[in-house]
Amino acid sequence: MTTAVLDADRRRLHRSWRLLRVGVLNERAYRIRLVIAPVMLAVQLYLYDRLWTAVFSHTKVTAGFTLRQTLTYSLMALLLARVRWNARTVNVRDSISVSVREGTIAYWFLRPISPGRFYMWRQSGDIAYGAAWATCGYAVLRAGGVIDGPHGAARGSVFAVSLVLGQIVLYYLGQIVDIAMFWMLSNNGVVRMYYFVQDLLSGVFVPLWFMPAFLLVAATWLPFSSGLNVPLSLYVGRIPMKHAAFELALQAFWVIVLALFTKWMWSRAARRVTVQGG
Amino acid sequence: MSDADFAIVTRDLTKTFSVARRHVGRFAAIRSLFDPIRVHRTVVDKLTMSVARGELVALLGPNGAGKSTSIKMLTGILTPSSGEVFVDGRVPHRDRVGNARNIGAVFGQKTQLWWDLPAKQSLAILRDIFDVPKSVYDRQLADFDAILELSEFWDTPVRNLSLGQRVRCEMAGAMLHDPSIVFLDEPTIGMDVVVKEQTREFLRAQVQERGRTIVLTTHDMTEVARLCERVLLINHGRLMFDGTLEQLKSKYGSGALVNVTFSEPVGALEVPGARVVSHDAMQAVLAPMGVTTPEDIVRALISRFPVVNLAVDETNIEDLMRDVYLTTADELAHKRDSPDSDRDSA
Ligand SMILES: Nc1ncnc2c1ncn2[C@@H]1O[C@H](COP(=O)(O)OP(=O)(O)O)[C@@H](O)[C@H]1O
Ligand SMILES: [Mg+2]
Repeated sequence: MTTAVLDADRRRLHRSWRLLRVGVLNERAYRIRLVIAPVMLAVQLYLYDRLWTAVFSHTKVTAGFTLRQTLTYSLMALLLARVRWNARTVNVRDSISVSVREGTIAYWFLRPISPGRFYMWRQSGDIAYGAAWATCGYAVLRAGGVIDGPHGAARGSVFAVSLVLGQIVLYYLGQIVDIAMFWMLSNNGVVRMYYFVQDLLSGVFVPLWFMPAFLLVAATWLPFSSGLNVPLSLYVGRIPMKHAAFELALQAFWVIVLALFTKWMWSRAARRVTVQGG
Repeated sequence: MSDADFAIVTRDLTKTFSVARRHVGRFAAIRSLFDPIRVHRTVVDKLTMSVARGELVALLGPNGAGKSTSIKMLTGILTPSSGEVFVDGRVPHRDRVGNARNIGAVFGQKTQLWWDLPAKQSLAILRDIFDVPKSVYDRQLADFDAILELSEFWDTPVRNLSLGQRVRCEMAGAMLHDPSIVFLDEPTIGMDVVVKEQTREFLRAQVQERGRTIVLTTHDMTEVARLCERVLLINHGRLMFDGTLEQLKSKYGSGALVNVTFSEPVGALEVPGARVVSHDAMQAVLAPMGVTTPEDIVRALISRFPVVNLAVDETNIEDLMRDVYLTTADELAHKRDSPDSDRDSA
């Protein structure tokens, strides 16, 4: 009995592990991307580096940031944006958006794993793949002395926790956009618009601290700041360690709220499919 | 026998969709947005039927008859509005996971394969999703390959496969986890005859050797004639006929049409066992009725009239339905309580 259960568990784990590969296999189908992605990233990083150096040429500190802090924050934000690069493309054939449009979403409901679980593993593969790129980028920038490391082991570990929480927040936000496709029928314009706002308010383009006060407040009261701004500000020391506990708790709060919300959305989506035929 | 002894049992299975109808007149668009008129449409209407294990049954009906909706309820994707449904003793929409392990499905042109990956990799992913043990997977692939010849193209990305190749992979994907019941919703639409014959052979083998139960919807009467012993015919969501194809033909005619051209004008046209569909001076279209075959009509025409040209149209489901309608017009008038299946809600 126990061995049977263990066996089933192991098989399930094995299955989940292999579902992760779909993202990587998809990427391999378009090998040209393997060249384009790092080139694009390198160009972006270089331009940001030049831009901030120019901005700081007449001043030492802006919005409480030194040049070094700004560079570290911005370049890491660019790298972290890569983590969900593939996970957020709505045009992938097995995305919710395309599956709803083409009616193939029906198959998601004909499998021994729930649509939500399938989505999670499928996304995890894409995210793991993006994270591998980001990690390589980080290693190169650190080795080249372009960006700083975290100041001290304590900061390093708080950052690590905050980074994971932030990625979970972003995962749920992306999931909400994806599930919304059950109703919006792949309205790509709205999705692009949304991601622009999300990137802006989580700190991908410019550190949040440089923003006008109302945007900064908006980002802090919405889950966006929890995504990238909090972990990166902890990393560069813009948020003091004595505030770290509060920031982590706020991130955890968003994780819970968004998790419950996506669960509810999935049940509405399933209802929509099973009662009205999608 | 109890419900679990059958592969499929339905009783008074009904599906009613609620659809928004547009307002007309002033501010119609805005009123439709904020206060849509909800109308109920009964798409499957008190369907009662059963399918034994190991049967290969055709579900026939014209477009919009409710075939796909019925199949979606049998697969558990759609929740019925009322009535009962049991698939292998389970209620599909209540036990979706248990049901999923036990059934396979192909929905016409909709692919469940991964577009950018080689077909075989898609099958491997489905294997992971359905948790198929290696030994079963290998046996299944060998089994499918023997008839469907998948290995010739399964290393090609799905997006580059021809329709026939893709549907063959689709069938393999649907049966990979060795389901006892398989639903195929217009799987062969648009395929060439060679591939059609190949898939027929495959389906026959799956029923005879693997003991699967198959429910197939199609418009292709040749396919039905070659594959299915039993036919369920639905129209406007209602079961109109349940029996063998022979019984269907003897009751309603074969659905075939005989087109005839005469060398000189012909007056009254009367052929025993045939209904005249249209007739002008030089040309006529006739439909065989009851046990009469198109060949009987051809023979009768040649012996009685100055015929210069004759053609028998392929049997198709739309024509057959037309005959079913004409033959059962009275029956229908009595049976149907309302003239329109659209009923406005209170
Ligand atoms: N989700 C839905 N909402 C409203 N009407 C629907 C829905 N799905 C199908 N219908 C209608 O139900 C009827 C039967 O559809 P379907 O079962 O797909 O027929 P078939 O497969 O026999 O061609 C059609 O008139 C179709 O327009
Ligand atoms: Mg259909």
